[in-house]
Amino acid sequence: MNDEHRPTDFESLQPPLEAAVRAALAEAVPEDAVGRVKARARQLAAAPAALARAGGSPHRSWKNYRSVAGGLAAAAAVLAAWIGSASLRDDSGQAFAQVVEKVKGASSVRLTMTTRFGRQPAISGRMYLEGNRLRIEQFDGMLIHVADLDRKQALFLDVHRRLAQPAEIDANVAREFANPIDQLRRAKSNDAEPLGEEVLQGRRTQVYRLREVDLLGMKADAEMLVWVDAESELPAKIVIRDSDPKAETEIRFDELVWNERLDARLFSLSIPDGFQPGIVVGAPRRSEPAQPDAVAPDAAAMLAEGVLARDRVPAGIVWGRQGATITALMRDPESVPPLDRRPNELRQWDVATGQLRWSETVAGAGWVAGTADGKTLATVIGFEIQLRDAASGKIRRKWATDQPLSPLAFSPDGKVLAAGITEWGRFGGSGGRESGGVEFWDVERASLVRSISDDQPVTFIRYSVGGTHLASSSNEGPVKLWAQATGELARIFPGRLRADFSPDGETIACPSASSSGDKSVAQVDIYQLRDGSLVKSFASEKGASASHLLWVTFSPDGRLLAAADWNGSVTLWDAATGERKRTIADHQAGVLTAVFAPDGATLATGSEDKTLRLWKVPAEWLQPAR
Amino acid sequence: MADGELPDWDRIVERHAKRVFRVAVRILGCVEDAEDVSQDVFTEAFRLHKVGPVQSWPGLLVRLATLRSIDRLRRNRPSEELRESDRMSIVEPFDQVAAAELAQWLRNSMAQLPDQQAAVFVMFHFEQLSRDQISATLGVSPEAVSTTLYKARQRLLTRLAVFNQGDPK
Repeated sequence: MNDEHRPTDFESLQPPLEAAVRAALAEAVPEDAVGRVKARARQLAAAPAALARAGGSPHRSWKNYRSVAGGLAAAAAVLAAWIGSASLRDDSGQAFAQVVEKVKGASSVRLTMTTRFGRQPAISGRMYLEGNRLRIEQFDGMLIHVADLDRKQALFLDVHRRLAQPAEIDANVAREFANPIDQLRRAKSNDAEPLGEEVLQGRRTQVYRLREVDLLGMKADAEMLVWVDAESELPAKIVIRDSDPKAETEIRFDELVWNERLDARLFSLSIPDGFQPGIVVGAPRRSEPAQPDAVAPDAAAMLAEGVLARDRVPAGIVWGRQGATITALMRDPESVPPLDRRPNELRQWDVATGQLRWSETVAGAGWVAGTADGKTLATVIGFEIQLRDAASGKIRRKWATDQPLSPLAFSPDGKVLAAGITEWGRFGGSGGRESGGVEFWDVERASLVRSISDDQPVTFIRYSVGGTHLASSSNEGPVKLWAQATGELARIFPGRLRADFSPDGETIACPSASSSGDKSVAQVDIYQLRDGSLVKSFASEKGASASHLLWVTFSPDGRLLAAADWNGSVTLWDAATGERKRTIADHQAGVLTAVFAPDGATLATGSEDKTLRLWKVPAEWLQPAR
Repeated sequence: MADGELPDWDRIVERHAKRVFRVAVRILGCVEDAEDVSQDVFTEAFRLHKVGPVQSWPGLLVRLATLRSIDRLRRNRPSEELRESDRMSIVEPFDQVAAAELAQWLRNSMAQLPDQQAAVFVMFHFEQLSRDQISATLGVSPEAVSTTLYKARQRLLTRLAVFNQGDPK
């Protein structure tokens, strides 16, 4: 249009831009909304494991998590009401003191509860309380929590999936229970204020108000209303809510039935008949996940051998040739773009002892590849390719490139280093369009042998068994197969992300791009390399959240296929029959990679939960098939 | 309340929740969306909190709040390019355009900036962070912050010119 006029225009346009900024700054920040944000954020600490399990989809899992925490918090509130009112006996009115005595003397109570946070749908359920044991049923009884606060034991039941998970209530949760109680103990007790009478379901009740009580751990000025039955002198209804009506945060306890003999089975902490041990969303778990008893019993044959790291995310794993060492690219997850400045590290451990052999800073590097002889590692930092001595991690040679490279792979003979071009367009900061391709570098001469261009960023590459072909893929797929000798596109498979060739060189396994009906079930498709036909599809167990496969790999003998999922699970299949051998659900966040040791006896997994774990593959799976 | 009684996480929330929410609501201009994004931000921050020490909480939270809000802004306005109606409807001078409309225009325009530019623009103009603070928060050099801010402003001004002129001459 009229580009030449723009500079002058811009002068006059500065004030309106400032005005627009001022208008945005004038946006009101309602205190009640801030209060709600705080209340929800605090709750995160109440159910730590629920969140950790959320993996890559915190938003989706929030609801699950909140329901659990809401239940626990609600239970805490009832305990608080119970004990808190007991603390009023000294100097509140005679009538309420009587109520307190009655409550203290009560053996049990059952009630219905409704928890509401702002505009979110209310969560309702039933609660049974006897001594320090409680049972909460939510979602029409589909999710059940049984807890014994004295024994610090809990049992979580998913009635729909028939899963049961025993758990210890750790210090965190116990503290969450205790916190409001302590607060109420310290509260000034002369604010039990009679508000008047109300007829509740045909019964006369006296209504009291207590101020400055705790609401879901929020130190806000919540208030508690207690309806006391005039005849029995026991509370018939309790409402705890934010004093600010606009906050709409409220817990109601209705239909209280006191001193009824409750069935002891309600509080049983043993796994009911017909239930399988499993992970129920929201279970507190202990801090040492690699302990054998933290593994579901049916996975006992495949225990974690160890956890090698806890401070960074293992994003790429390379085994030493004999499986004696393991090298991992440890990504710093707390950085944001630009990617090329992330303080990542390359580390190598001794597998037998777990000792760190060396650690090298590799700012911004996102990938590591190793030669088949185990002597050389390759990394890319910025526009520089580095070859490193695998024994020391030191750079042996380096040379510059002109393309943003990310995924790397050595040809099986170690003579060629293939590198995928990953140009992310505007996200990459260089302003280019999204594009990709593959460069083949002669390792000996550091010269570019061949270059293939593609229309998508190449985020993964892998050499075929014989080294004649190279598979590349982008995040959305498809998986493309290129002939290395000519640079020709040989075939396209409808998979995406990390594919792997079977060791017999016949097939390729790709995470399926087409989502099956159930989003929480992962699918791996196996294709014939020869004609591109689909051989079979493997499906995973239903995951805790939506599945997104990030990595598939065959074991060195080709008998097992492992897939790492963004929802935190790792699935192992029998590659011949498609039988599901095992699902590892111990990672607390998305699993980025899974690599078998050269002898196939150990599987290493790297996860967003900042752990690199080694798993023993049961010996009977390693025996020859025939 | 005595500081020592609060677990760390509570203290972090207490201290920074308002800021996170404020960043979100200014970018999004909608309380519900801002609450949602704040939730997401704290959820994400809590994961980081669980796995290791965080060097600068305000830095991390402002960064997450900014980036996630911009993400949301984009999602809310999928590929909404300048439409004909955008040009035609605004023919009056700027001083007559309601403040709300200006703010809405700014949000629409920010959604179309590259991530980094939008983040720097928000941190500078909405949160009034200094160049050095932004540089530390985003992990880029102070020079890059200046350049990025300049680019962001130029882009917005270009869009503003179109917005102002109505029909191209």
